[in-house]
Amino acid sequence: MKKKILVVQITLFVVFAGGFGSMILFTDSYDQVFNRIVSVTCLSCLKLDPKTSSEFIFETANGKLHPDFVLDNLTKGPVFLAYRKDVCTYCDEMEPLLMDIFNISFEKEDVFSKTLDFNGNDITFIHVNRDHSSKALRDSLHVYDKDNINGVPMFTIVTINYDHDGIVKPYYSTLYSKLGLTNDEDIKDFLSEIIEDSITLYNDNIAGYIN
Amino acid sequence: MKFQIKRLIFQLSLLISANLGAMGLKTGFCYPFFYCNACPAATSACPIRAIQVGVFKAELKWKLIMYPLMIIGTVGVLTGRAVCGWACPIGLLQRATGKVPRYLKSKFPIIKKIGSLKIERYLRYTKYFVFLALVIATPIIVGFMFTDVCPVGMLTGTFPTLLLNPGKYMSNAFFAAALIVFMLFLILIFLIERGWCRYFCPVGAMLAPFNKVSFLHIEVDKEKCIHCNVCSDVCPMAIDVPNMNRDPECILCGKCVTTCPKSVISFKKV
Repeated sequence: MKKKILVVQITLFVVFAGGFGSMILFTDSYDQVFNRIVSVTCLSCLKLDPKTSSEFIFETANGKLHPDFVLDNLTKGPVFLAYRKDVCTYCDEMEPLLMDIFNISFEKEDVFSKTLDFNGNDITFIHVNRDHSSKALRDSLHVYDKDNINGVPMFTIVTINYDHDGIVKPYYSTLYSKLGLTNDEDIKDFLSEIIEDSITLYNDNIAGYIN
Repeated sequence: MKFQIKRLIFQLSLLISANLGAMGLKTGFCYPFFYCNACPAATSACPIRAIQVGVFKAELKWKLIMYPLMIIGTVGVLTGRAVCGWACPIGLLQRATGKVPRYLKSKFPIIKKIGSLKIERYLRYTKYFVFLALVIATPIIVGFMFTDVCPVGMLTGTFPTLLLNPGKYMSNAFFAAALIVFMLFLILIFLIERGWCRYFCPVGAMLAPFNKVSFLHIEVDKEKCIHCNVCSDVCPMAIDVPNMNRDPECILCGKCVTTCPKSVISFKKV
């Protein structure tokens, strides 16, 4: 009997430990768990909403430069970035509202950049699903995480403005989760208002902007 | 050094290692025990969260399902449910609260009576139901996840975040439901010793079957046992120790081993 159990024990150990070792060595499971679960929190799972401030600032959250893909698009108009993960209840709830505001449709897995017309002005919408995007796109969340929340859903609007030295620079604001609001119409109004502010800033300062 | 002190030191060491994220160490491993990756100091991922993300809305991601299962399986084959008694921070919490239910049991005979009801044995299967229904089925079918209302997430993720960032957050729609579950969790662990491990822990449900085949286990020399039941009295999982044979509920805490007056209970490695 003891021998039989020993055979079962050794077999199971080989299966599980071998399986674990193989997954670490030959698959991207470790990276997937890190990127999808550990590195950034889903705010609905945290059961908390950050108290959102719509204040625009110049300094990036981690002190790094604005990513190239933002600067490139900033020559056309303000850039709106929507960050999410595959499994995130509030991301799912916010996306239909974004589709309404920008009058577009997309799937949650999509990673894309599209320049759209917003009340007669160009604005670039960039959808970043961190579970499917490149490292550069993924890491840009930390550039714009101005309140150091490290969670999704996160929305950033980048525009331009004169800084204290009189130079026109990228100027951004970041909002999180459901923006501290419960009503869908209020959320849409709040987002639309901040987008309009960013367009006004952009149009006022584009003459002095050199990328 | 006394055995139980050694165990306490081990538990505290594991609690610290589970929180090395506070020093910047974030990894892509899953804990082999219950701890929330939303904890500001978390080092790794919660295995339950990984499985739920893997099965969510039937968009099966096999790597995210198999990876935590392989980790739990490896640890389970080696040590069975010793993880619950030696490593799990929630186990440590329940060790700390364990004296309260014992006191209540001695003061209120009705609690002892409830504990000895036949149905209690069957209630222990609840944790398998929690695992299958709330960790696997509801995320697949309706997209509801156990971690949305998880009391361990509340304790180790939500509350520390609120404490470390006063005034920065407010509760969202999941908070109230999770708070109710958390209150029930507190009542449970103060009323029943290791109540969470016994009845509800989904990680315990994954580890428990491995007790049947694990290398490390506890064995009772039934021929020499005098059935004094001192071992059963000290057992935090309320196991009938003299008659146990690789019991799935045993967390290998070793209390029975150290209290047996005849030294007929021992740890076995194979």
